[in-house]
Amino acid sequence: MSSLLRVESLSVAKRASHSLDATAQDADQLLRQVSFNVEDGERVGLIGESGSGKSLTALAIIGLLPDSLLQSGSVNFAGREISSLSNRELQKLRGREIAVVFQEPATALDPLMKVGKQVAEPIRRHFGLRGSDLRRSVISALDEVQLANALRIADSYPHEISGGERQRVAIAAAIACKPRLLITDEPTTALDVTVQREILKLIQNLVTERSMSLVFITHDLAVVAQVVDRILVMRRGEIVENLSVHQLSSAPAHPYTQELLKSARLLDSALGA
Amino acid sequence: MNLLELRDATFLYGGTRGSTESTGISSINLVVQTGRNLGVIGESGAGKSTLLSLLLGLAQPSSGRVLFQDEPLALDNRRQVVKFRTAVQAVFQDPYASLDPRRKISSIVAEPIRSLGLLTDKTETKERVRESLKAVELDENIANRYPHELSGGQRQRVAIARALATHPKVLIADEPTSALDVTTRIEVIELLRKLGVERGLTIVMVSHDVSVVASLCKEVVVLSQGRVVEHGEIPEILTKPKNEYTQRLISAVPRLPR
Repeated sequence: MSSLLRVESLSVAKRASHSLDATAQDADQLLRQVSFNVEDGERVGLIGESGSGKSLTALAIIGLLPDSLLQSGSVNFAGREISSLSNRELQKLRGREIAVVFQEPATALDPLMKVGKQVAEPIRRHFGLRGSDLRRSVISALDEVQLANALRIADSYPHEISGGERQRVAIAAAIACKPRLLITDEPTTALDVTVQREILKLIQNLVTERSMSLVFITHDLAVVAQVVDRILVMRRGEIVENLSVHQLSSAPAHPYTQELLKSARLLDSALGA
Repeated sequence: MNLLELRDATFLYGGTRGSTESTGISSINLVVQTGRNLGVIGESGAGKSTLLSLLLGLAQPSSGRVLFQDEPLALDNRRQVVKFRTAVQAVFQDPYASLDPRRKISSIVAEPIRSLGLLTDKTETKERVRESLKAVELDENIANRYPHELSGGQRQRVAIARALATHPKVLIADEPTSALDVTTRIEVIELLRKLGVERGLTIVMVSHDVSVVASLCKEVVVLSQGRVVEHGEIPEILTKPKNEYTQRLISAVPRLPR
């Protein structure tokens, strides 16, 4: 099995630190030597608390870090080094090969643009479809995320549909061009638990049907355990542990993973056996 | 004597599209008794916020009543309102938004004492602030700091300290741990549990998070579309939910692998 994504010694720091003080420089280091692989068709969870560097890792992979941050290390996708690509070349990759779904569907979607048009955008850009072909493709993308009334949804503005529907739309836009790697950043955190369950099931089904690879970012151990095969635990910009979901309940080695698990267990135990 | 009660309380939002746009609540009966923590579980649009504004005396029901210590709450009765606000305090979801960034922690914690005119003596007020910070296990030096200097968990502790400053009987907690990381969440739940025991504080916890409610409350009401669809003890609701919506809700809660 070959690695689809290979991240090696990825570090991110704030640019132009004026301080010579060693501790201040230390604080400016946001990601430290992050290394991991995602195999073809594998589902990997990136878990950690706020400020641990989960989202930053995702942004660094797809080359969307702000200019104020300095990135070093290697990001290899499908055998190609992508960390040094120009923005133009990255744009060809984003949405086409690697797609991202963010936490808050209300802000990920443009409030002034009809939903159908937003799903159409990546299809038009990457596949050059126009007119009725494009429309058909949009409707089929919306069908695929199991939106009951794709035609109505396509002609709605984001505020006219529910939070769960908005997240389905964002997923439809992300997978419309059949990417090989899907990165989801807290895709269900803003949703009600009953809706969360549906969205998790949808992501699982889509990833299986299309044999996509998945990087699933979350702070929630119970959620991540339902979706992925392997978990990377992040803390303060570092990966502190890399373990399979099966090992999670029996053998976390790092004290921080143990602490996370203990907290999650306490909450879980309140729900009974 | 019941501390707080909603009796057949209905609240409808005005406006032409009101009935479909925002959920009010209809015919809600709810009793808060001393020493019996009450959980209110509901998802978005269930009517949690509306219920809260009635319980906090921020709105009058369209019909039905809010009773405070068995007497109807009249928001134009200043004497009763001062008594009510002293006894019923609140902690909100977002400690970043609920603390005034321009004021020192000491001034934030003293705010309800000041606005309700409970203590006039400066030394007494200072002592009360110190006591409140101690109750939430914060170092008293924090009194001279500003909210932005604190972590999310510390800020939520400050918000709890502020609520404690009036020596309330009821603490109404609106998603008090939803903005916190899981390790911090456990600490805050533990703190609330301890305060309940040590200070005889009754907690009303309003949340979408079943596990957080279950960790702290024995009695629970489930709210859906503005109505109480189920009411009972947490073990029964978790294991044998009667209502169809409650069943769906409970089964959707993600669980850790065994």
